[in-house]
Amino acid sequence: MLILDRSVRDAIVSHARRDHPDEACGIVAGPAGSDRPERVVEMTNAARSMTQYEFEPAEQLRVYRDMDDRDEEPVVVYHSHTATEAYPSRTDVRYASQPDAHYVLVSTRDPGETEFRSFRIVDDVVTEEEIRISETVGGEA
Amino acid sequence: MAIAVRIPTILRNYTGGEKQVEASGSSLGSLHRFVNVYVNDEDVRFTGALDTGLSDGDEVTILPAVAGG
Repeated sequence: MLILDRSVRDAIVSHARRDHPDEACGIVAGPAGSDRPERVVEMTNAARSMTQYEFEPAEQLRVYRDMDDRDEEPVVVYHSHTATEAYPSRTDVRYASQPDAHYVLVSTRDPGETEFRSFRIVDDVVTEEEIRISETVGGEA
Repeated sequence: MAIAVRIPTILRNYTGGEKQVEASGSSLGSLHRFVNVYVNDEDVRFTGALDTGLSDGDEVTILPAVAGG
Protein backbone atom coordinates (compact mmCIF):
# COMPACT_ATOMS: atom_id res chain seq x y z
CA MET A 1 0.00 0.00 0.00
CA LEU A 2 1.16 3.53 -0.72
CA ILE A 3 0.27 6.14 1.86
CA LEU A 4 0.83 9.71 0.84
CA ASP A 5 -0.28 13.14 1.76
CA ARG A 6 -2.80 14.89 -0.48
CA SER A 7 -0.33 17.72 -1.07
CA VAL A 8 2.20 15.22 -2.43
CA ARG A 9 -0.37 13.67 -4.75
CA ASP A 10 -1.47 17.11 -5.93
CA ALA A 11 2.13 18.15 -6.60
CA ILE A 12 2.70 15.07 -8.77
CA VAL A 13 -0.53 15.61 -10.72
CA SER A 14 0.26 19.29 -11.20
CA HIS A 15 3.72 18.43 -12.55
CA ALA A 16 2.27 15.89 -14.98
CA ARG A 17 -0.35 18.37 -16.23
CA ARG A 18 2.22 21.12 -16.64
CA ASP A 19 4.56 18.98 -18.76
CA HIS A 20 1.81 17.40 -20.86
CA PRO A 21 2.14 16.31 -23.67
CA ASP A 22 5.71 15.41 -22.68
CA GLU A 23 6.10 12.75 -20.03
CA ALA A 24 6.87 14.17 -16.58
CA CYS A 25 9.08 12.34 -14.10
CA GLY A 26 10.38 12.68 -10.58
CA ILE A 27 10.74 11.16 -7.16
CA VAL A 28 9.29 11.64 -3.73
CA ALA A 29 12.00 11.37 -1.09
CA GLY A 30 11.44 10.22 2.46
CA PRO A 31 13.50 9.17 5.48
CA ALA A 32 15.45 5.98 4.71
CA GLY A 33 13.51 2.90 5.77
CA SER A 34 10.35 4.87 6.66
CA ASP A 35 8.30 4.19 3.51
CA ARG A 36 6.98 7.76 3.94
CA PRO A 37 7.03 9.82 0.74
CA GLU A 38 7.41 13.40 1.94
CA ARG A 39 9.46 15.57 -0.37
CA VAL A 40 8.58 15.85 -4.05
CA VAL A 41 11.55 16.40 -6.37
CA GLU A 42 10.61 17.10 -9.96
CA MET A 43 13.24 15.77 -12.34
CA THR A 44 14.07 16.99 -15.83
CA ASN A 45 12.98 14.52 -18.50
CA ALA A 46 16.20 14.34 -20.51
CA ALA A 47 14.34 12.49 -23.26
CA ARG A 48 11.84 15.40 -23.56
CA SER A 49 9.47 13.04 -25.25
CA MET A 50 5.78 12.27 -25.38
CA THR A 51 6.49 8.58 -25.04
CA GLN A 52 9.72 8.24 -23.04
CA TYR A 53 11.35 9.59 -19.94
CA GLU A 54 14.83 9.48 -18.56
CA PHE A 55 16.44 11.13 -15.57
CA GLU A 56 19.27 13.42 -16.62
CA PRO A 57 22.40 11.72 -15.15
CA ALA A 58 24.11 14.82 -13.71
CA GLU A 59 20.88 16.02 -12.09
CA GLN A 60 20.23 12.54 -10.76
CA LEU A 61 23.66 12.48 -9.13
CA ARG A 62 22.98 15.79 -7.36
CA VAL A 63 19.53 14.72 -6.18
CA TYR A 64 20.65 11.26 -5.00
CA ARG A 65 23.71 12.68 -3.24
CA ASP A 66 21.48 15.21 -1.51
CA MET A 67 19.12 12.43 -0.38
CA ASP A 68 22.07 10.43 0.88
CA ASP A 69 23.30 13.43 2.90
CA ARG A 70 19.84 13.78 4.43
CA ASP A 71 19.52 10.04 5.09
CA GLU A 72 16.64 9.83 2.65
CA GLU A 73 15.82 7.47 -0.16
CA PRO A 74 13.50 7.64 -3.18
CA VAL A 75 10.25 6.22 -1.73
CA VAL A 76 8.26 6.99 -4.88
CA VAL A 77 9.49 7.12 -8.47
CA TYR A 78 6.79 8.70 -10.62
CA HIS A 79 6.25 9.45 -14.26
CA SER A 80 3.34 10.22 -16.53
CA HIS A 81 1.88 8.67 -19.64
CA THR A 82 0.29 11.25 -21.87
CA ALA A 83 -1.68 9.07 -24.29
CA THR A 84 -1.92 5.69 -22.63
CA GLU A 85 -3.16 4.29 -19.36
CA ALA A 86 -1.45 4.74 -16.03
CA TYR A 87 0.11 1.28 -16.09
CA PRO A 88 3.82 0.35 -16.36
CA SER A 89 4.92 -0.32 -19.92
CA ARG A 90 7.41 -3.06 -20.86
CA THR A 91 10.17 -0.45 -20.88
CA ASP A 92 9.10 0.79 -17.46
CA VAL A 93 9.42 -2.76 -16.12
CA ARG A 94 12.77 -3.33 -17.79
CA TYR A 95 14.27 -0.25 -16.18
CA ALA A 96 12.65 -0.66 -12.76
CA SER A 97 15.72 -1.31 -10.66
CA GLN A 98 14.59 -0.01 -7.28
CA PRO A 99 12.52 -2.84 -5.74
CA ASP A 100 11.86 -0.90 -2.54
CA ALA A 101 10.28 2.03 -4.38
CA HIS A 102 6.63 2.59 -5.18
CA TYR A 103 6.25 3.25 -8.89
CA VAL A 104 3.54 5.83 -9.40
CA LEU A 105 2.05 6.19 -12.86
CA VAL A 106 -0.06 9.17 -13.79
CA SER A 107 -2.01 9.44 -17.02
CA THR A 108 -2.91 12.79 -18.51
CA ARG A 109 -4.56 11.34 -21.62
CA ASP A 110 -7.93 12.73 -20.52
CA PRO A 111 -7.92 16.52 -20.19
CA GLY A 112 -10.51 16.38 -17.44
CA GLU A 113 -9.55 13.45 -15.25
CA THR A 114 -6.07 12.36 -14.18
CA GLU A 115 -5.43 8.68 -13.54
CA PHE A 116 -3.14 8.09 -10.55
CA ARG A 117 -2.03 4.54 -9.71
CA SER A 118 0.79 2.91 -7.80
CA PHE A 119 2.73 -0.30 -8.37
CA ARG A 120 5.53 -2.42 -7.01
CA ILE A 121 7.87 -3.78 -9.66
CA VAL A 122 10.06 -6.57 -8.31
CA ASP A 123 11.95 -9.08 -10.47
CA ASP A 124 9.99 -7.92 -13.52
CA VAL A 125 6.65 -8.60 -11.83
CA VAL A 126 4.17 -5.73 -11.63
CA THR A 127 1.76 -5.65 -8.69
CA GLU A 128 -0.72 -2.83 -8.33
CA GLU A 129 -1.22 -1.53 -4.82
CA GLU A 130 -3.84 0.44 -2.98
CA ILE A 131 -3.26 4.15 -2.44
CA ARG A 132 -4.35 5.85 0.75
CA ILE A 133 -4.42 9.62 0.80
CA SER A 134 -3.72 11.17 4.16
CA GLU A 135 -4.77 14.70 4.97
CA THR A 136 -2.62 17.04 6.98
CA VAL A 137 -4.22 20.42 7.35
CA GLY A 138 -2.18 23.07 9.10
CA GLY A 139 0.30 20.50 10.36
CA GLU A 140 -2.23 18.34 12.20
CA ALA A 141 -2.93 14.80 10.95
CA MET B 1 45.66 2.61 -5.37
CA ALA B 2 42.69 3.35 -3.15
CA ILE B 3 39.32 4.11 -4.74
CA ALA B 4 36.16 4.91 -2.75
CA VAL B 5 32.98 3.47 -4.27
CA ARG B 6 29.58 4.81 -3.15
CA ILE B 7 26.93 2.14 -3.38
CA PRO B 8 23.27 2.87 -4.18
CA THR B 9 20.69 1.43 -1.79
CA ILE B 10 19.63 -1.34 -4.15
CA LEU B 11 23.12 -2.84 -4.27
CA ARG B 12 23.82 -2.65 -0.55
CA ASN B 13 22.77 -6.28 -0.04
CA TYR B 14 26.10 -7.11 -1.62
CA THR B 15 28.12 -4.89 0.70
CA GLY B 16 26.58 -5.87 4.04
CA GLY B 17 24.56 -2.66 4.06
CA GLU B 18 27.62 -0.43 3.63
CA LYS B 19 27.07 2.87 1.81
CA GLN B 20 30.66 3.10 0.70
CA VAL B 21 33.42 0.59 0.14
CA GLU B 22 37.10 0.75 -0.70
CA ALA B 23 38.33 -0.78 -3.90
CA SER B 24 41.51 -0.82 -5.88
CA GLY B 25 42.13 -0.79 -9.58
CA SER B 26 43.01 1.57 -12.36
CA SER B 27 40.01 1.26 -14.67
CA LEU B 28 36.25 0.73 -14.51
CA GLY B 29 35.83 -2.30 -16.68
CA SER B 30 32.68 -2.74 -18.74
CA LEU B 31 29.58 -0.58 -18.22
CA HIS B 32 26.02 -1.73 -18.02
CA ARG B 33 23.49 0.45 -19.81
CA PHE B 34 21.11 0.35 -16.87
CA VAL B 35 23.57 2.09 -14.55
CA ASN B 36 25.12 5.51 -14.48
CA VAL B 37 28.74 5.59 -13.35
CA TYR B 38 30.44 8.75 -12.16
CA VAL B 39 34.05 9.35 -11.23
CA ASN B 40 34.37 12.35 -8.93
CA ASP B 41 30.96 13.69 -10.04
CA GLU B 42 31.67 13.32 -13.74
CA ASP B 43 29.50 11.00 -15.78
CA VAL B 44 31.96 8.59 -17.39
CA ARG B 45 30.11 8.87 -20.70
CA PHE B 46 32.02 12.12 -21.09
CA THR B 47 35.36 10.94 -19.80
CA GLY B 48 36.01 7.98 -22.03
CA ALA B 49 33.52 5.43 -20.65
CA LEU B 50 35.44 2.12 -20.64
CA ASP B 51 38.74 3.94 -20.86
CA THR B 52 38.17 6.26 -17.93
CA GLY B 53 41.32 6.08 -15.86
CA LEU B 54 41.26 6.15 -12.10
CA SER B 55 43.67 7.87 -9.73
CA ASP B 56 44.44 7.29 -6.11
CA GLY B 57 41.71 8.74 -3.90
CA ASP B 58 39.07 8.91 -6.66
CA GLU B 59 35.45 8.43 -5.74
CA VAL B 60 33.24 6.29 -7.95
CA THR B 61 29.44 6.54 -7.65
CA ILE B 62 27.05 4.06 -9.21
CA LEU B 63 23.35 4.88 -9.66
CA PRO B 64 20.60 2.91 -11.37
CA ALA B 65 19.54 4.54 -14.63
CA VAL B 66 15.95 5.69 -14.19
CA ALA B 67 14.01 5.66 -17.42
CA GLY B 68 10.97 4.26 -19.11
CA GLY B 69 8.20 5.08 -21.51
